[in-house]
Amino acid sequence: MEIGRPLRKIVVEPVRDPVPRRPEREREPAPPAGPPAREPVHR
Amino acid sequence: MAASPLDGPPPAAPDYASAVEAWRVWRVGLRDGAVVLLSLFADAAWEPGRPLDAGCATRRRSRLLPWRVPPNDHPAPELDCSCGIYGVATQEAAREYLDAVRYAPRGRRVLGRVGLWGDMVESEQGWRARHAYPIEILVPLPTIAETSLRRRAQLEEIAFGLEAYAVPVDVVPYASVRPATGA
Repeated sequence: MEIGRPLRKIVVEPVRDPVPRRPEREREPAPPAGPPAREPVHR
Repeated sequence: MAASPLDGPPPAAPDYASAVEAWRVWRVGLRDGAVVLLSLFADAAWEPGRPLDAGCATRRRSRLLPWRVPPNDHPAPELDCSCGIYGVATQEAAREYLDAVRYAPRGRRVLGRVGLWGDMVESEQGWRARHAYPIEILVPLPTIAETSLRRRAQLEEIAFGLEAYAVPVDVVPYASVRPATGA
């Protein structure tokens, strides 16, 4: 894209996250956290 | 003696505390069956929910060893390079790229506002940035006289898919974003 002659370097640090969070209901379910823990075996 | 945290130069204060809003045009493509935004000229996919981070893919010929063309290794964007994520200052400037086919792959294109942040290069008519994410996406819809119903249905489907970015997606009459001619 044509943006013309560069003028200066700037630093932009947004206070708020520029990436919007998806609504809770639209989020994909979290994957299972691993194999189910085994029950302790008592001998 | 341990160095004090107050030693050294103070960190530079940011110039702006909110993302710079610019305009740009994206191509639309499919990745893993999902509709995604693609950069117009670079082969970069904009993932929903994640900022796009720029790197410098430009290569420069070595002056001492001219047969070598090593990649640049500086962080993007640099003042004297062309790297970074681009945005233009006005919608009018961005609209020129909706139909332009010069240097860019063909395909469906959409227009929108983009937030730019991080280290940036401010230019006469826009910016180059380290990070970017869409703010608003406009899907131009031709009139029935200009296109088939099937094509219009595809565009509606594209608009639905782009809602994964969690930003406003509007289907707008193509005439409202078409580059002005003859004026």
